[in-house]
Amino acid sequence: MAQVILDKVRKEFPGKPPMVALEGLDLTIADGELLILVGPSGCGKTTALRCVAGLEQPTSGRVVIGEREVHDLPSRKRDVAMVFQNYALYPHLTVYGNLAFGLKEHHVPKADADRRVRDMAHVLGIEKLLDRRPAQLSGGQSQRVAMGRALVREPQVFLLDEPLSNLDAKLRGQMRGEILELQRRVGVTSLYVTHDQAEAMTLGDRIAVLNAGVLQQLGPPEEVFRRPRNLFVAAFMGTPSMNLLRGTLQDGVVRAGDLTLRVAGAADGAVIVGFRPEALLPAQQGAGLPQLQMSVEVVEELGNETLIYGDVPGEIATVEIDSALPAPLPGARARVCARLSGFTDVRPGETVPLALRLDRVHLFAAAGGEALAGASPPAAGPD
Amino acid sequence: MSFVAAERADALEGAGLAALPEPAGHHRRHPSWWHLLLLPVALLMIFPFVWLVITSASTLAETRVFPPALPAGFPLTWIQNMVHNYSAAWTQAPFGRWALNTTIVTTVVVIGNLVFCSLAGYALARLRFFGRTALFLVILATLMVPFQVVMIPVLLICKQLGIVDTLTALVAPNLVTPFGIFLLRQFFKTLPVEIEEAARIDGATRLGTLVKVLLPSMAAPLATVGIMTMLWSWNDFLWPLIAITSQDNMTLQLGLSSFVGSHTTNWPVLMAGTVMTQVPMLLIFLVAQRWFVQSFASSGVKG
Repeated sequence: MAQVILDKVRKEFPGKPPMVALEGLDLTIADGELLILVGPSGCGKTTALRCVAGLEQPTSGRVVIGEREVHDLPSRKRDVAMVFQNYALYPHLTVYGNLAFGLKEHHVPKADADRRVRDMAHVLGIEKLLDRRPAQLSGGQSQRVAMGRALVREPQVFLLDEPLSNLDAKLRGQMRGEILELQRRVGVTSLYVTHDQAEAMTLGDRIAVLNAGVLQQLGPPEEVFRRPRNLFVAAFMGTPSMNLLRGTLQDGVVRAGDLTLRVAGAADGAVIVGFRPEALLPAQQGAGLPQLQMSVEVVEELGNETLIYGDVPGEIATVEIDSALPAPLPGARARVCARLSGFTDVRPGETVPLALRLDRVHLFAAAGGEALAGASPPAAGPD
Repeated sequence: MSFVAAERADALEGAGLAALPEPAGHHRRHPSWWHLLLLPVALLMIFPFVWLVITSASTLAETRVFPPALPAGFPLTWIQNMVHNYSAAWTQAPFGRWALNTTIVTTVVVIGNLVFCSLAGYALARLRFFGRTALFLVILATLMVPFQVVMIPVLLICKQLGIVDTLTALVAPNLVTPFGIFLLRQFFKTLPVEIEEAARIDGATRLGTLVKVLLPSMAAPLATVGIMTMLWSWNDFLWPLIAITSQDNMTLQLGLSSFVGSHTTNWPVLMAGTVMTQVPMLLIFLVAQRWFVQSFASSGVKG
């Protein structure tokens, strides 16, 4: 095991103009830690992983594994293992052959290799599949074989590139738990790339949020979720996204639509007030809290909870999360979302009063999007 | 690092991860109306070969009868004629030597093509270097140049190298072919690059990755290149005709032409020799029939 350091790693891909995938990334993954790199498509997370794996050469900066600087070494000399999104199993080899391939390449004695392959197969519950070829495996089985192939070598660093994205939702949930369990058991330093926030929140010791090749925030999942450092992190983490309302801050008072909040320690200017859908409550449960009148447009009943979308007074702000996504349909508007527990009798077309939990309100500078110090949570201040 | 075994094999089966069914075996095809058309066409195709064998069982006089007729005395006289004609073909010329030459040339050319076309195809598909696309286009362009256009320059090069009238002259210019490079490059392109990256991370060198991971996954295209090269090299007549002058260095196809006289030709002996040159290819075809059909189907080249 070893810690991994990315020190001012910059990666440019040739082109006119050159495409900058990583912009001076500084990241330290502690020994035995599972760090999640999360961000939208094209944010540079996979490039960062590939720089650690040796599949990409950083344009500048250092990659250190343990005590060794490895950025000039080929992949095979870095003692890392990787699980690919499409598993990348060797199609002509059996499951046994796939697991044993890396051991053979590292000249592990045959008897030892055989024992390790069978131990790993036992751990992963794939002993019965050892004679199968990859074409005869289901998605979940291929996933396990890919994990086994990576871990059987007992690498210093374990890299996972969106390993669950090819599985259906139910299996993904199960495999997520298994990956976590396996990583904890083996204790190998791991870097896990995903665009799925659920994976990021549930798996990682820490999360690193990337956007456009720049590290936005690094911290434990709860901290990243509860105290986003900027608008991008706030909007990216959480589904549905955080609601954002444009407002102004003057003399310690924020006005955004019908909301009036009092904050301390922030300079006057244009601000954006953020609150997650779960920060909104039915008005009767939030006596004394500021209220918003929502004109409900869409109601999604999910069984254990209900999402209601609609308009509130004020100007809703949006953050472009993923430039790869298609533009919204013409005429489409940003809406505010509230997450209410259980079923509700709210119907589209109604106007419902909602209370806003003040301890869940975030404040960002409209220019630059940085979270405003001392503004979260704001003190209540009804006029 | 050590792993603690967990008893989860049974859980796997219960978690929707049960094994997929084994792929189905080959199905026997049912008769179809198409067979009514295909059968006569097949007979038409096989007729020249049958006539070749029949002629090799004739006497010289019987080949000059018009209209053509089957030789008399089936089967005893046929067998006697065949013994006479085949032994004549074998003894009148250094047939064994020619067969050996052809085998050497074909084997080396096939191995050369598999090795060099794989390397070139891999480089053009995967390695990033200046002028890669231009180089590939130039190689493609040579596919459009008929051999007749380049055979004299190639002969002159061989002459300068001092290899004219040697087996090296038959092997060297054909060790790598643009067709093979093109075909393998296209197949390399279809392989997921992650497989190669996985092998590199697992500890394989680039060459190791090519040999241990990529090429074993490319049995079909490699068989295509091997079979096409083998057929072409075994049956090649024009280049040996130009490059070889001494009888000892002739290949079978070239040697057969020496049975054709300027005034008279002993057809039964020529046909016996022809059958003998075709038997190895025929045997290989029978053994590897499936690969032959796949090869021609996948390469889009007609035989």
